[in-house]
Amino acid sequence: MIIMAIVLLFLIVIASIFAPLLTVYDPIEGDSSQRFLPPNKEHLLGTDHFGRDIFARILYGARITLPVSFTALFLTAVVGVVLGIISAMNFNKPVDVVIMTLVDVLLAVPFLVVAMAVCAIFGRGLENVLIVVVAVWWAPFARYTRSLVLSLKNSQMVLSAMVLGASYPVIVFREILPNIFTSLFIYLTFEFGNLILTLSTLSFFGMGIKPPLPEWGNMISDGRSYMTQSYHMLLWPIVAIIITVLALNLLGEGLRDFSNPYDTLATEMEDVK
Amino acid sequence: MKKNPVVKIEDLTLSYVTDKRVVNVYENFSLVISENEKIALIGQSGNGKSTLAKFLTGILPKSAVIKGGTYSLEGVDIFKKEKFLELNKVRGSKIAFIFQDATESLNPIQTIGRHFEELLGFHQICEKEEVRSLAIEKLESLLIKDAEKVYDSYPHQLSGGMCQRVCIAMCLCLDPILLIGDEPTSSLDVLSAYEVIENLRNLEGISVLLITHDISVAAKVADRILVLDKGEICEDAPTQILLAAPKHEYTKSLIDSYNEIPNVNEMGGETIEPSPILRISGVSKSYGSFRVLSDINLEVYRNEILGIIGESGCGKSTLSRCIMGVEENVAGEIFYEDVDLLKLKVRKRRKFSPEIQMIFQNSRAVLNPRRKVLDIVQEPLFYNGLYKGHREEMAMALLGDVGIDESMYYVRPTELSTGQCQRVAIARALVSKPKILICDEAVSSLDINIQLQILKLLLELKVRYNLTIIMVSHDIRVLQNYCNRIAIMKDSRILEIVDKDSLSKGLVHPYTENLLNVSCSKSLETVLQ
Repeated sequence: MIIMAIVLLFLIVIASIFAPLLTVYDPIEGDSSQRFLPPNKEHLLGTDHFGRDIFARILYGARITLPVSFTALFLTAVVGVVLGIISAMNFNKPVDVVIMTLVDVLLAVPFLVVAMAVCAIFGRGLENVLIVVVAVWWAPFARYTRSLVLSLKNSQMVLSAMVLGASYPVIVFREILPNIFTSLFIYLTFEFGNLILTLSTLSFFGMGIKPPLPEWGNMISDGRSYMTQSYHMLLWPIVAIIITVLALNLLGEGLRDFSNPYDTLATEMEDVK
Repeated sequence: MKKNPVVKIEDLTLSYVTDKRVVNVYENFSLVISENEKIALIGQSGNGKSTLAKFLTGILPKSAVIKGGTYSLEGVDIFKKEKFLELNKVRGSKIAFIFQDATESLNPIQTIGRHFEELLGFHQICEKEEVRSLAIEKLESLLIKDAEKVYDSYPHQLSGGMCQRVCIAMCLCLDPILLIGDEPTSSLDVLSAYEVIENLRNLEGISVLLITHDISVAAKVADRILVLDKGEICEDAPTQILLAAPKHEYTKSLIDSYNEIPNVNEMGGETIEPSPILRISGVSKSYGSFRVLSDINLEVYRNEILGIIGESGCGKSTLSRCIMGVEENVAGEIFYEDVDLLKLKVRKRRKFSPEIQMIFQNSRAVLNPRRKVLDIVQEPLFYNGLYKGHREEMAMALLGDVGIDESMYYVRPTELSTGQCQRVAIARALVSKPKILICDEAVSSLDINIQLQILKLLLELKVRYNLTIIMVSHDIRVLQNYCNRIAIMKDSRILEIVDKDSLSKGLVHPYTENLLNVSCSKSLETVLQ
């Protein structure tokens, strides 16, 4: 499973890096005589409403979508995990209460409202999109991390480490983080797909990456308008996202099995050691 | 007189298959349980006792592969051509099952009454109006006082033992022909276990298969004991005969290790001066409005073994955690030598952790599954910044002391047996050269022969390292001779502190006497006589 995931991710990255070698078409300049073409020999995946080659746009789009979403994901994860751990380690103390109240507020307010407010204040642009995403999306990460840490924090393992004289940072880095890492990573891979769609929503509202730059989210929102006439405009960017997310999920699952210290079915057969 | 066989298993071959390995559990295993017969199946943990119970009820996990064999219930084939037939009809109504932890088998948001209604409704035993009377009749047949009240309670309002008895009553409602108990008393404290055992022993008109690692429980309940070793029944004899004249080596070792609890006086020899190394005075602790410890006063003398005994939930584990400094908001004073540990800030308190150490019940859960044995043992030195440069040698020396050899240095805890895990945990606790070692139920979950090994090991180490040991346990059989003094806890208080002399002379509080009386050690002796 893990090999399949690595191969897939490798192909996606290679394809985006070598995009100019893989297609002769320009992702931005269209040929207005070639609009709405279904997939054919010249345009492998067809063309869109400006006559641009969809295959080219997907390849070039990966160059934008993937780095942006990875950066956003990385930043949210760092903020969320750090705050989640701080919150859990100070369970029921003021710090925890403040962080968790903030999480509740952020989860209660619709994302787009916050995003619009931030863009209204700071203006539009890629940096601001990242700020918005991180500012709102860390909340579920923090909550998830907190729950993971809390369940481990009361485990005999952590208790015994405390008894042995380990300080909090040591407990977090030696006992807790290695044991929740895979759960977090799997959660991240699941969130990745969501994040791509969120970024495209922001683009759709004119807050993110501006058209005509090829971005998978933008392509989906373009394709949406012509869904009934040319399904392929909508289909291929979705397939691209699905393949990427699938590769990441496979990676997550593979890593989980790979790094699992227990025998896969050890719990089932604990009767026989 | 030949009784009719109720359950008949022949030539069962069963193994667990995963993508990594294959474990053969049974090969050509046969078993016959007759009508109204009470059978106990004993053996070490990890040799497939529970697998048999799961096979009988058809709840085997997917990784179990049955290669052959027949299984018939009252002469009707249930298992044929590697498939179970109509098990749903049999499960519950013919074969009943009680699990180890009854509090977890009951639904916490439903009253006991709802459980009965659901069960009887599903099996269409009686009309809804009759459920209550039938349930209460069954509960009362198990000598449960206040059956009406129990019927209307939620599981959390009952003790673990009461929950287990409720489970038995529920099983009885369906009038099964076989009741399987998988370690039904292992997670209970002495007094509740006693009641459950009494219930099981007095059941009539039903066959019982009791699966246990505890030979004393088996001796109390069963007419016939089967000893299971490595997937084979190595001895099969009526209880009296088996206990009096065990034939197989394994059975002998089981009975011997049961009777032979090491005696503190024989090993240490020295008399204990009443000079306290640890002085606990007025310690109280509450969780919200619930009082866990109230006004605990206790002195622990240098080089003694002090036992702390009590029912589950009496606060004995909380007390040990208070001493270790991992509980917050504890009132009172705990003096170690001349320092009040409770007054210290976290950082300063940590400086004392090398001197007071602790080992836990479930050492498998305590050891980080991602680290190797040699690293694990060095942990306390690393945490406290001790003995830089010599850590590995010290860890190796201690691993040698606890009998873990070099081949296991780079193995992860999941590959060790429970006994080995506990040895590693002991080595880890002792590597920082502590003065006091707290053992919180450290031997309770171990097999009886491993229990004996660990107890002996602790005594040896106590002498070698001049340790003061606090043994926290619910098992008076272990503590009786092992400890210099025993503190008896009940309902968050210390009831009394007795030394060995007054314990043997019987100069004790009625509660303590009760504990001693129901303790299974006595019953094994009585059975033997």
